[in-house]
Amino acid sequence: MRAGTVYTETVIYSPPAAFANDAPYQTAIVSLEEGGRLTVRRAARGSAIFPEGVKA
Amino acid sequence: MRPVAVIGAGKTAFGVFPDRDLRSLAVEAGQRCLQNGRVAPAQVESFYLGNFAGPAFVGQNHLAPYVSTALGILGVPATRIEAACASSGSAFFHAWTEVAAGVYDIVMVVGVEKMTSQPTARVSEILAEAGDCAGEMKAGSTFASLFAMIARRHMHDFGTTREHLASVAVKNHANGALNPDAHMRKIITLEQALKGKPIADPLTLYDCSLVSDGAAAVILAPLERAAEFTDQPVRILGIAQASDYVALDRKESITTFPAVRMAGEKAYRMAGVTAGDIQFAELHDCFTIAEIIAMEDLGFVARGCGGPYVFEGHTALSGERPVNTSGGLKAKGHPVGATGVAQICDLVLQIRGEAGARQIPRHSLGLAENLGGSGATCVVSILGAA
Repeated sequence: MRAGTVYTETVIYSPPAAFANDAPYQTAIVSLEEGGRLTVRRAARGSAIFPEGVKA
Repeated sequence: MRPVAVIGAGKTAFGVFPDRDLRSLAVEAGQRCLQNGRVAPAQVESFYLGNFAGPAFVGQNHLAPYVSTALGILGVPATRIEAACASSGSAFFHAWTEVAAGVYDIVMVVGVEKMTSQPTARVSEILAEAGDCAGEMKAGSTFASLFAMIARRHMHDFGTTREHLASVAVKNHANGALNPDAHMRKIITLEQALKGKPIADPLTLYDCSLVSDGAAAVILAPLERAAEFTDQPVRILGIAQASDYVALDRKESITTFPAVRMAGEKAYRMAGVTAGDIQFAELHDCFTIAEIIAMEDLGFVARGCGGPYVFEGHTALSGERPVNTSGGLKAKGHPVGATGVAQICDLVLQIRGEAGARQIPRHSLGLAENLGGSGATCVVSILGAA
């Protein structure tokens, strides 16, 4: 488990074919505490999105 | 280096053309261009084709000689350039290097994409291959979602609003309505744009460019020979291509594109002009936020000020510096591999005073910015009356 802060995020309503059954889903770019950034996806449908939105 | 001119330009209409294949579109644009420049196919010494994903979209590879031979251009080097949405901008840049260096005199560039034979979800997947497939795209990203995350961060950092984004779409639709070759000739209101179907928050359908078929072509020659072909040569005053990381999450900041800044600075220096001298521009509005950031990265406005600048009307046809008089990728259409050369064709039309209902009064110095992916390739070209 790696810790980080949400640098930016979005909720995708128009997914690529491979993720057609998952939409809407959220992706975010996370700034990792260890350095660098990572693009991640919230997999569970209907789960709460990052509540605080973008936080620098 | 020798001064280089555009001596001929030609385009197809952009839109959804179920009866047309890739080659017929490329040939139509190429033939119009040859006629426009009064150039015979046998005079072309080198041929470039800008195309992003012909193999995936239409199942055809080896596209440069596939198109050049259909135009009657035989025997010469025929080279395809792929740089995502900047494919034909890059092809134009490489054609310019050949003429400027004195390797060849008459060089033709065609850009083409045939996109609409695939369903939307498949189009998204093919476009996604312009991103980092092992990283951001594996996480479920689309290009809309990457630019949505860019928009979100721009809003956070600079106070850019949904209304600012929507005003880009409203302006470009208004311009596109005046362009007989545009894919979408429909005026929209700010309210409509704001209430569009959500694609990736905060972007709606109206923030996204179109999936289009189309082709565009130009022919380059040394300026000293331009008069053999045309009374209206358009000079390439400055041009540069730059690159950056493919993955958005590798960038230090996602609200500015270093490749755009680098290409812009080099092109300005070569042309001996500054951002303030540029009278009009075709900017790569693949998404509304991209036009806003392009104006900032090219120095038209200070960083973070692009939203209010477009919202206040300064880039409208009647504004101080019109942007995307063609309708842009948003309304003219975005056949990916054709876009870079189409932007050059649109600058040529304005500079020659042939833009019809969308002709602007100050049209002697224009800039085109063609962006690939989420900023990994950028080509900036500055054109002026010769």
